[in-house]
Amino acid sequence: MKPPQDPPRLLDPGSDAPGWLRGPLEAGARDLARPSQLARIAARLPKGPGPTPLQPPAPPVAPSLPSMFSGAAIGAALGLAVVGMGWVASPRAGDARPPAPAAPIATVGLPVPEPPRPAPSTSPAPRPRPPHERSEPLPSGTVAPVAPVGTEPAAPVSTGSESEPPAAEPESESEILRRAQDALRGSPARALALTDRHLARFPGGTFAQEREVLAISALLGMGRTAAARARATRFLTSFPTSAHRRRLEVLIPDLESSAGDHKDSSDPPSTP
Amino acid sequence: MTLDAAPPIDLARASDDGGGTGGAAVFERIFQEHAPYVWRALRRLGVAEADADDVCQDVFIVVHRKLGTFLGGSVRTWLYGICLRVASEHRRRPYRHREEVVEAVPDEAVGPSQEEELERRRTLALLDAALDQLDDDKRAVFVLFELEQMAMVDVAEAAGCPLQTAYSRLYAARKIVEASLDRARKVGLGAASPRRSNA
Repeated sequence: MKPPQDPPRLLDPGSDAPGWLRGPLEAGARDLARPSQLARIAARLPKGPGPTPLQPPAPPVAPSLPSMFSGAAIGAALGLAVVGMGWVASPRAGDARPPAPAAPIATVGLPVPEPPRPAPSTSPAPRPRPPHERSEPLPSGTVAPVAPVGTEPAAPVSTGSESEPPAAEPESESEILRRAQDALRGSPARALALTDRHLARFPGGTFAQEREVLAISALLGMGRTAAARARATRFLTSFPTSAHRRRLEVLIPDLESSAGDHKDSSDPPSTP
Repeated sequence: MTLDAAPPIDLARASDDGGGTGGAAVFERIFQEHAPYVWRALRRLGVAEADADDVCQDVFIVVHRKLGTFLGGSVRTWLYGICLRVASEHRRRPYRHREEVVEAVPDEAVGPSQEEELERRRTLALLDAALDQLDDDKRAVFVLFELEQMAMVDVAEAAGCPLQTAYSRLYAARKIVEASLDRARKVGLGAASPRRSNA
């Protein structure tokens, strides 16, 4: 069905809007940010090496991916997330949030199963990470080797089951989370299962924060709002200056007040 | 008057012809092409001038994070959808409208005369006062359609409502804004001697 034609705008040349109405609207339309303001904003946005270049689409992960962009860009998004954490986590003028805790943080205060270590023979060598890539201190020795995001081929994924079978081969952190991101829209339960796998394998991993945000999104996608809220609250307690804070506050509108209460919940971290 | 709307970005193409810079180039391009309009929309959506830079940055933080999940279609519509949510969230915060120490002399200090600048600010204050009469839903539709020049189909998508609902909100918002500005005019606060008027 063809949508109805838009009415003339009040500021259109042919509009019969009187001058006393046009004047304020025109002033509003002319009220753009000054170049110096834009430059200041741009200066606070990610710089440096930047996110991983968008790769040609990896072997298909799910046959019905809805996005033309998601296949390659999810890797880039993970890269963006990590790169962005450095500058976002730095305190801004007027930001009253507390500084990052000095003590090491372990896995968002969640129960942590013993992690099986990835086989070193098949994992890429650990690369030194520049300081801007890390927004929170991580326990020494718990950072799993991580290949540059987007450079590893995505492993084939079975799409028929909500539960995630154990992987036959060692997987990287980013690979598991990329698959979780892929599954998030169509199958949040599967996405949650993948974040559980990540938690089991890389409890203090480089992408621990991204895992938690994915898990919270998956819980919301499953309609488990209370569990999502509880997990988000624990996340903010553990990572009060996280770059993901704003996102969580958007996902769960009244999260800030509940996070401030530091309520604990008996909800398990995730139960697919 | 030209209401400059940024041209649409073909993200798929942008990611292909970015010369190897990929997602960073796409993000940078989105910022360069849309940031001035995002800032303007945020102001009219009720974000105080002192907060506009920070909230504009917040919008692009979300864009930065969600770029990989963008499903295609109009970047502008997607972007303004984020704008609406971030602005709405900001308005609910108790510490909005905070005062900031100005670090630098505004650019316009050597541009328009002080009288013109005062008149501009006064006119904007009138507009904002009229927009403040609207609830969030009507305000979003009015700002996106009348000031950001978006098609109603895109407005409805960005606002997350059916098209007919968007039309209803627009017509209701127009009545409220017109009534508010008319009242201001009648008590001598209205826009003085508009530069161009066909009334």
